[in-house]
Amino acid sequence: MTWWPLAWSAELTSRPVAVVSGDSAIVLYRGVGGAALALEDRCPHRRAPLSLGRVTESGMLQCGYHGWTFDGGSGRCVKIPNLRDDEPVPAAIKAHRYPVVERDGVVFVEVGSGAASLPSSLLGRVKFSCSGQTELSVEHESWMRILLHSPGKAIGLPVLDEDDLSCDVDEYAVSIKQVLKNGSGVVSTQVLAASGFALFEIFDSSGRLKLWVSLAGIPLAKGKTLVRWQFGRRGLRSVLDPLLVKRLPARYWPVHVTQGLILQSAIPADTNFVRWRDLSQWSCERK
Amino acid sequence: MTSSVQDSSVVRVASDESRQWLPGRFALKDTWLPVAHTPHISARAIRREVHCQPYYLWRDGAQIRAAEFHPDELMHNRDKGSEFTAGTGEYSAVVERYGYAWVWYGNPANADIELIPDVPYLPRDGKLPRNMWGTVVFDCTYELTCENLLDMTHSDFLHSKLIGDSFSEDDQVSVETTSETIHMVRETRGRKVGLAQRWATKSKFQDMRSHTFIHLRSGVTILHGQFTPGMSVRLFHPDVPVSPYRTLNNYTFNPKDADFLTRNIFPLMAPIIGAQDNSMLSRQNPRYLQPSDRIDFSSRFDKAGLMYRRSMKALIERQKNGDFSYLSDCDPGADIAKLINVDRERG
Repeated sequence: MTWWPLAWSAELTSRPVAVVSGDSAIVLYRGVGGAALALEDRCPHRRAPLSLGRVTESGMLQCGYHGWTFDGGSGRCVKIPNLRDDEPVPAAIKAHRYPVVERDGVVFVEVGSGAASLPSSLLGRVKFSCSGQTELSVEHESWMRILLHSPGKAIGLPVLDEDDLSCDVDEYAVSIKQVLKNGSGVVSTQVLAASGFALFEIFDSSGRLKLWVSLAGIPLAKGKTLVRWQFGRRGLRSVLDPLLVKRLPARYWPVHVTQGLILQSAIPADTNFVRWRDLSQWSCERK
Repeated sequence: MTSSVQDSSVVRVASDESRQWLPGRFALKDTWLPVAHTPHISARAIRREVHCQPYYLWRDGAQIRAAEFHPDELMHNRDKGSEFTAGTGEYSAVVERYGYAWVWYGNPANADIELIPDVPYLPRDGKLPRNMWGTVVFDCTYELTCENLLDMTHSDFLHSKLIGDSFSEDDQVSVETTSETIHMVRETRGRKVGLAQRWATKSKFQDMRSHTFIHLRSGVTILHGQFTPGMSVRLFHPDVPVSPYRTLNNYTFNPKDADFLTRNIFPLMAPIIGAQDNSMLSRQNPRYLQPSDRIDFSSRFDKAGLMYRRSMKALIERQKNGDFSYLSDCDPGADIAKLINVDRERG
């Protein structure tokens, strides 16, 4: 089981949103009091997507096909329209519910089997300003390899060779530091071990934080990965500093990432990297 | 044999049989299908498909002809015909009725004109104004469109603005089936008048009695909704199975008990309603084409849909075993005017 970063908090409203994680179709929405809720995007009545429905005034998710209404907290069907008031709805009728945690502006949803622990806050101090998503023609596992092989290169930054990175591994996350060419700064990357949610912090040569980028790679289908991105920056002047992002002016970042140009170009034709499950061994060697 | 269901169970879980409901996997044979509106057929051939079997239709003088190949290529392919044309390439059974070209899908030796379904509210010569008929395409297998019509509660949500919402004083469903047909009657009292009928009645509330009569083999559906006060909506809704991913609906309206304007505007809603239905059906379809262990939960309003699944499975099983005959409990061509409450003399 993995906590997948399936949405940004800011984009989640009382309007249902359909997201996909591997084989799981999920609908996300905010219920009463703004709590983020996740149900399987499949009505147990006639398999219609619940994301085509609406959230009622009482915070329940109502299927748009026949109006069956579900409590996002428990997944239970609480109302079948057209039934008389004295006709109860059996407790057995449920939509599958997924646990949801909102942390640091990210909506994490627990998907899969087995047990998983949500890592402690990675992004506590980060405030993002732009976000979007792009679909890459690459397996999620390969995407992880690319990300971990050279995170800076994966987002198009002019970093020194992979040999110059330093790497720390703990139970839940991998931390990688890379130096920008010409000594113009440092890229610090933290990657959650299970889902590959990555936070990039780009510092200038005097150690001041200039730019944050976060990437959430979500498996969509075979050979397809959805990468959701956000970035924020400190001060217009420093963002335009050509020494910081020499090859890639930051003002073009959203355009490039939206079109998947940077991320897709980071994928080599022959991804002859170590496998994700060999990560710890690989990381130690690198150290 | 006719069976009926009147049980009052509130909600029940679908049985084991329903677990294995896999629509779109078997093509039921030996049936008539209205594949095209006759005004669309001219000397220039048009192509239609039934279960991916091609039908080229064109007019040769007063007669409509149909073949597996384009008429320009028919001569060269005379010996390449399939079992559906007894190897000749040209279908022998094509009939013009109710404004449609009906073709026989199955063994041509079994084609019997008496098996064409009775549509009591359509003129036999099919002469209705142009705005009364049209075509809607659904991106799903035809069994799903039939099920959609058998659970009319969907219209209370999907089409609520046009048809009216789910609130009523009473809402009852009864179903009758034979080995070849299913007939559902839904009766509601004190229902809010929908936008589509605002011109037809000044009342805010109305009662409704709707009939849905489906021929299982072909997906031909005959609908009649009587609104009191209000109009009588008569909709011929044939769901022609093109493929597991496509259903062609050549519909024809013939509404009554309304003023001229209402009668003529009402059928214009069909593309809107069709698109609304398709938004759900197209998303349901892939989830039904693959086997699943998951149970569909059902309410008492799904009685007809569950019986439809059961009857279809029985019919498929019979055809799998080589029995393509029509059992004695059903005559598809029989007069159903009384059954669906249509006064044939009024048209």
